[in-house]
Amino acid sequence: MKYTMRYLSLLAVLGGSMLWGQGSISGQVKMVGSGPPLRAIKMDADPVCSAAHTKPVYPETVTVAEDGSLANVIISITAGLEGQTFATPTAVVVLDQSGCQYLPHVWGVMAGQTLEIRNSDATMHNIHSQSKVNRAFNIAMPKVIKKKNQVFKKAEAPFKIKCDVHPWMVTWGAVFDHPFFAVTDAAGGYSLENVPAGTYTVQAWHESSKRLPAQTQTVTVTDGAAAGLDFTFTPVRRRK
Amino acid sequence: MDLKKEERHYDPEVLHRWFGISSLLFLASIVAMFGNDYVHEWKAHQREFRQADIGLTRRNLETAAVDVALRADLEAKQQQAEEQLATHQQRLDELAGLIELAEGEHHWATMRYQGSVADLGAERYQLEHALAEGEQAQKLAERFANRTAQTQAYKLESEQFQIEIDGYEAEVKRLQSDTKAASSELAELLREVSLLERKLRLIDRESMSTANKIADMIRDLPVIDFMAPSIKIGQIIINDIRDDVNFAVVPKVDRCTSCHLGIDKVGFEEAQQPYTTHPNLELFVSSGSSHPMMEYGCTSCHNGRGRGTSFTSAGHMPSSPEQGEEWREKYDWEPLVYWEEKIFPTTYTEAGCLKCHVNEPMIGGAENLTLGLAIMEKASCYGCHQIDRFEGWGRRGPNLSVVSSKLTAEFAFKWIRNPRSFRHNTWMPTFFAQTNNSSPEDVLRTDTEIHAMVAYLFNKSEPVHMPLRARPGNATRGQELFDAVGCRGCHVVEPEPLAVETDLDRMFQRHGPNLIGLGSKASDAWVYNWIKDPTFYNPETRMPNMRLSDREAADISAYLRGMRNTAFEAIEVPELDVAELDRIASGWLSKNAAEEDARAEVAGMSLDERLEFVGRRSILHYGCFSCHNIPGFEDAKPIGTPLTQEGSKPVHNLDFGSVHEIGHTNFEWFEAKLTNPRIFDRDKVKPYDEKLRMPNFYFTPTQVRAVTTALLGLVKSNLHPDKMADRKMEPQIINRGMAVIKGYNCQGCHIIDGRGGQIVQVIGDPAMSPPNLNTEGAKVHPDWLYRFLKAPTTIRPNLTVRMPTYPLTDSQWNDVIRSFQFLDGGTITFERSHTFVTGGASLAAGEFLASADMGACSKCHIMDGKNPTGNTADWAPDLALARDRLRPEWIVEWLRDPNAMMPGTRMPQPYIPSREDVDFEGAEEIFPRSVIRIAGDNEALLGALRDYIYSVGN
Repeated sequence: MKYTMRYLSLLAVLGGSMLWGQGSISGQVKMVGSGPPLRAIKMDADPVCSAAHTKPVYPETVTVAEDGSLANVIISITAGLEGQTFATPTAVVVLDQSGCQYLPHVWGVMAGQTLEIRNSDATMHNIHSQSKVNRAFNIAMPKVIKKKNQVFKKAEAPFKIKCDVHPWMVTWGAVFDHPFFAVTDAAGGYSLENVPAGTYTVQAWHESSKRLPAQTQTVTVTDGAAAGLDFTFTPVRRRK
Repeated sequence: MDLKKEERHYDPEVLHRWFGISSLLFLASIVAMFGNDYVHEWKAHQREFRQADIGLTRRNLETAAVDVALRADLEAKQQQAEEQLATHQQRLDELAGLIELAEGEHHWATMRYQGSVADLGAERYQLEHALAEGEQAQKLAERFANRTAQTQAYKLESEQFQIEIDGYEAEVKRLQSDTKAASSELAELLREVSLLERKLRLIDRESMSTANKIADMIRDLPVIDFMAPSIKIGQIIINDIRDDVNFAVVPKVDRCTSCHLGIDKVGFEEAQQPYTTHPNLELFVSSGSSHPMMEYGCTSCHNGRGRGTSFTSAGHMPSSPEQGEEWREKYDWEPLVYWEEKIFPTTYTEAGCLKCHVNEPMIGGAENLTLGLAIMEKASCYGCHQIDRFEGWGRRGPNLSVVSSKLTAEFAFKWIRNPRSFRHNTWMPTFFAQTNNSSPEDVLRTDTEIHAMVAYLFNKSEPVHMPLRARPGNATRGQELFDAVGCRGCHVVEPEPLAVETDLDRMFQRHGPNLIGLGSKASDAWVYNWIKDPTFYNPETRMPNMRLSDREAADISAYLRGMRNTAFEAIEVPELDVAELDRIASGWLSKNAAEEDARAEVAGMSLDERLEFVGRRSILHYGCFSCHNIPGFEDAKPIGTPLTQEGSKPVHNLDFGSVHEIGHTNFEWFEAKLTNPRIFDRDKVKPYDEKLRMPNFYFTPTQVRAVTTALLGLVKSNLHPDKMADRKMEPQIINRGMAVIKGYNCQGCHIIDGRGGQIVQVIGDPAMSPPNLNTEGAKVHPDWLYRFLKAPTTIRPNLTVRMPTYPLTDSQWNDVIRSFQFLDGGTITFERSHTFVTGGASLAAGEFLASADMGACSKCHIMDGKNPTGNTADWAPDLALARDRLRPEWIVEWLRDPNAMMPGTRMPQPYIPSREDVDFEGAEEIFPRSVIRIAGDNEALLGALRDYIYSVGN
């Protein structure tokens, strides 16, 4: 009986995917020109931080490779999934505080998914979220506390989390009500898997949202096919 | 027949016919009367609303019953439980019988026991009596022992039966429990649904029983609708609010709800008028709000004729002429002529608040009205017009008894003639070159008057000793200081008028004058002395002492003096026309004397005497003394119409002159007057001294609307004290404190009661701006606050902006401190001191939690006189100040969740270990025992941190 049910549900899932189909979206994000000149972070304020690095550390505000590949861009579906609900993944998303920097610098979670905040440093950090839809929090994490779980209940556009003790520490997170989001890697690549067939609006968002404003494109996913979708950011000249 | 006919003076047949006709007419008129009485505007509204209500209820029912699956599930469960119960019916019946039997037995057993107890008592007495009398007691003692045993046996027997009953009942309960749980679960799920269904059964014929349906059909029919109609006048009677209906004062009766049927019902927000839900049910109308409909009615706030039951007779007023036209077309509307208190047009609704919120400096939620009152205060309307609300507020303009040490006569002339030629946004109004006094003759006269007034002011002006000698300064550094130390909490430097309209926040930023062109106005020495200590010139000024060093004052004064208004400097002052001066002088004199004598008297005066005479008369005429302290006018009476009850003034008392393009309502008159104070002199022929002389403030349309709202709110009112907003002591104290806070513009720099703090726009970072005073009353010790306000000390050395010193009296400071306390729900109690054991466990735990590895307080807080290492923006106050300054209860609440108390604060929630955090092998190597012992007990841990904070530096 138990097995029958299991097979039945498996069949239902397979049947469903055959009926509606699933595909993927992948592509690359590039930027025209180079990033702003960056100055090495001065970590002298906390000896624990400066001792963790032998080489100078630069802010990750705009991480662009020589060929223009742009990392740390959040790619997500913003329209086309209306009315569908998705299970919350049980896997945790890890945000580490290591060498007085946030790893990763940009991340996404699903609403209800656990964000595991780690402190790999032997110093106190405070995690100060600037979220608006979800309740803002600001908690201290002394070195003895290595892990702290945080759950965002509602979907929210990217927001900043910072450490007031180490003002250079900044990370950006976004909360989604679906699992179709990704952050571009150092080569600017990303892919969204198991996307139900359909037509979607996909957004590419970068934290320098004034200089590199978010952009959207429409893409159609067909059964079993991989749709390609590239983005190119052109910096907006600042007026005045 | 013929004979008989002739015997009469009338013809019966004709008479019968007429009788017939007239009875038919009579019948018809009765029918028409009933008909007329039956048909009403509001009845149609009620029918229409009932349909809308049915529609909404049905829709709600549909959406409420969404979880069909759950409902079916629960119903199935209930059914199952009932079926299950049915199978146990036999046993249940059996149990019922058993319970009945056992209860009977139990009753008898109890009776036996109680009888035995009574006997035992009697026998005890007999035994004790025998023992006391020394009689033979052997037998009695035996009997008593037997009786005791017997009683005990009866008791056990009775208890046995009770146990038996309890057992049976428990079994019944067990058998029924499933059914009960299922039905209560179902009832819980369907609670909303059943409420909606019950409502539908009342209003929706389709959901009614047949009998109710028939009753519903006939209950509203003519004639029988006197019994129990569903369509009837909605009426709210308020006994303690009374309407003055000429020669009688009667309780307020509001029938507005006859048509405004959805006003208190959620769900009609989008409905058409008159069914729309009130836009702010949280504050008004609903029974849980602070202004429930049943206690305040509708017309108490909105005005209008509450007894009216039609669109016109209720006294509706349109917001614009276009809306008026629309209403005429749609509702056959016309303004109610013989009812003064017509409904406020929606633009002016807030005027209704002022009746009860009499003394509130800022009325929460009434933005327009609050702005209007602030403008009245700023423009000093109460200087010329008696307004009780502002009684005793003093003169708000600069003190002119010492003017000659600040200004030149030339500046004064040009300024009086046209203040806006010097400063585009001054609050000093313009008297001259207005629509009724700009002819060449008028200009000649007014220029001469200004000459005379300037001469008067400068002759009477006392010299002021400037205590300090001006020093040269650096203007660039001065500008930086001007932005940094806090000047911009009250002052702007704005060369051009703003494109945006005034609002309250912008008024906080412009509390003091725009300092543009100061170099063309006052001398170096004066500016330097003024910013060092303004009381040297005006002991009553609201300008505080910024405690600037000589260097700082010199720099700021160099910056301010560097700004010149060359266009103003270039304006020529016309020569004094002595002939005109004489004409004006004899004109004034001839009011009380023959012209010949007047002219002779003028001829006998020296030029100085004539100037002084005309100057004094002109100052009196224009009312300069209303806002300025001028020697010789200390006791002069205000020259304007009293405005305390202006909103109640009948419209026919307002002179519309030849201005016909506006409607005959008080608000349109106010709007026109405020936009152009001389408008009602248009096409009038008047001698100069009878012309309208209210000066022009050049109000913007927003300002006109705001001031009109306030004027409409100033009404004659004899409200019961119970209805006043400040009937309790707390709001009275808050009002007094807030009046000081508003008068001295504390909100230019601080956020108080959720408002103000605009200086952050200049400073940029809230962390470097003056503190948010949210929860201040709960936060600091009142005696510390008193000492701080009297002589501010440095709390945040990283801030460049500084708390100035204000010359307030102790009672004013007390009002401020107490209003902080009451704003935070405080009471007048003695402050208890917080004590803890030095070297105790709590302190040790707190010290550990604050240590560098844990809370690391010293990363941001100044400790032991050492500044933190991070950005100055991240610095926090020295913890050694806490004990003296902060209340122990507040510290605990603050540590619990700083962000909840001060949204956006950089203070993180400190680390408070949980039980699990310390529950591992080797925990003692990290945590001291004092922490392990109380880990998980948040109150104790927060208390420990508080104790530690209190111990710092003490």
